[in-house]
Parts: sequence; structure tokens; C-alpha cells
Amino acid sequence: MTWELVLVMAAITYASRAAAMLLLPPLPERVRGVLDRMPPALFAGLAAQAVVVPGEGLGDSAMIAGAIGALLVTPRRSLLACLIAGVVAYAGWRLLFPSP
Amino acid sequence: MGAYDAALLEEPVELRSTLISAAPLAIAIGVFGVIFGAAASATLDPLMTIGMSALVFSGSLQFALLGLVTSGAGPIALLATAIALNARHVVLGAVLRPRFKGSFLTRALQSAVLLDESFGLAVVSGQRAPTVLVTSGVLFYIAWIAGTVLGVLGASVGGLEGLAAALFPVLFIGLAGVTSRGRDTAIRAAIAAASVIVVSILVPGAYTFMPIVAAIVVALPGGRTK
Repeated sequence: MTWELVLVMAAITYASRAAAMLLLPPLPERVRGVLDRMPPALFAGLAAQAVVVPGEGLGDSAMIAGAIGALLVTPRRSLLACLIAGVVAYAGWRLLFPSP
Repeated sequence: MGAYDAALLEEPVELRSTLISAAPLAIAIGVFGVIFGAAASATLDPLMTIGMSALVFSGSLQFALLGLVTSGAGPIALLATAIALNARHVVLGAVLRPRFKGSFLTRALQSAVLLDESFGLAVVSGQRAPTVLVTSGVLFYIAWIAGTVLGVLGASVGGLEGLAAALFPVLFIGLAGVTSRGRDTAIRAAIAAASVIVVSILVPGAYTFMPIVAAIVVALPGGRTK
């Protein structure tokens, strides 16, 4: 690893973050409709990605317990409630089933 | 203003509650910063480790680069990994763009702290998205740098790694719940999540792209917006 490579990585990362924010022209209504529908699916996908081990299956059982705890309170539409429920479920699982 | 924006304005998320939500994530990011700093110190010199966190500011990419460098991968593999892992930022930016009305320079600065977590908090904040993105993004940046420095200095996070890792899916589930506007979007979200799990298990190489691909695919068919 060299400093030049670090700078290239930083440039690629920043460019990816700034590209749409700086260069995206006004979008047709239909495209905006698709973008508007994306966030819940994107977040659900990111959550799923966090609990899965590629090529193997679901990951840590306590993490999955935390995810289920959060899922159960999603009808409340409160981020804080989800965080609390997730942490409580995670800790409860760890308490009931300690890691070897 | 789209229907989605209007729906969000009807149920505004207070900045204070957003920051309260951001705080545990900042701690989790700090924990991973410690882990990165400690792991990278074995391969890179301390200045480069901290410099990488300060300049790149992408946990997933930095951990991937560290693994590749340790295994002797060449520059092409490193570049390909950087492009693959960063591709999702373009979509995140496209979703946020209509909410950002500032000048080119302002948006250029705001973009620097666009990451999954700050995007999530921003997208549920309606008209306050730029403020929430920058506030939470700067908080996460500070946490990432502080964690890296502590890791380089030899700090240990003990058993916190598991809890920190568990916070990310919990956050994303919460964000999915807050942004869902009824049965239609909830079903799309469930399909996206199931697709990510199934495809990631069956085709491990698709793991990195799957959340974005699944979100685009399920969002394409038209439907009710309310």
C-alpha cells in the first residue's frame, strides 16, 4: 500500500459520493417515482446483507435476534424504538445463549 | 414536491431524535474504527492507517483493501474492489439529490459525508435532509477517526464488536419501517430483503451489489405512491 494508492481510493470514493449529487440533471417524474420507492427496499436489503454470510447462510444468531426485535416494532415507525428493541433482543439472546 | 416528500413532511422527524438515533451508531462506527486501526497497524504504518481513515472514510472499503493488501493483491484488484464497493453511493446520491437545493460547492462538501448510515438518517428527515446528512456524517467521521487512532494506539474493544455489528441491521430495519408508506412498499422491502439473503447465499460474488440491485428491481414496477 502506498500513499498514491490511498489517494486514488479516496478520489474514487469521493467521486462516487458526489457524482449524482453534483451531476444528476432534473429527472423525469417516472424516474423520480422509482427513486421514491427505493429507500424502504434499499434499507431492507442492507439489513439483510448485514445478517447474511455470503455463500454460507444466516450469520450470528444474536444479531438475527436483534434484527427480529427491531422488526417487531417497525409498525411504531420510530427509529429509536427499533434501536432499543434491537439492542434489548440482542442482549437478551446473549444472556439466554452465551457464546461458547 | 413528490408524494414521498409530502408524506415525510406530514410526519417530520425531529433533528434531536435523529441525533439521538445517530449517537449509538457513532459509537458502533467508533468500535469498528478501533478494530480497523488495530488490524491495519499490523500491515501499514500508523500514519498511513490514520491517513486512510481520514481520506477514504469508508469502513467496508478499508477493511476490504486491508484484506487484499495482506493477501498480496495487485493495484487492479484494489481498484476494482473500490469501484464495486462504491457503486452504491451513486444510487444513494440520486435518491437524495432532489432534497438538496444548495449550490454546486455546497453539495460538493455535503457529498463527502454521504454513507449508508448518514443517508438513512437524512432520507427520513424530509426537508432537513442536508442538515441531518452533514450533522450525522460529521459525527460518524469523528467517531471513525477517533476509533482508528485508538486502535493504532493499541486500544481493545473487548466484547463490544458483536453488539456494534448488530446495530447496523437494526438501524436499517428501523429506517425501512420509517420510510415504508403502507403495504405496497412493505411488500417491496420484504421481497428485496429475501432476495438479498437468497442470492448472497447462492451467488456469493453478488453479495456486494445485491442491496442496490434488489432495491432497483423491486422499485421499478409502478404502484400506488401513498
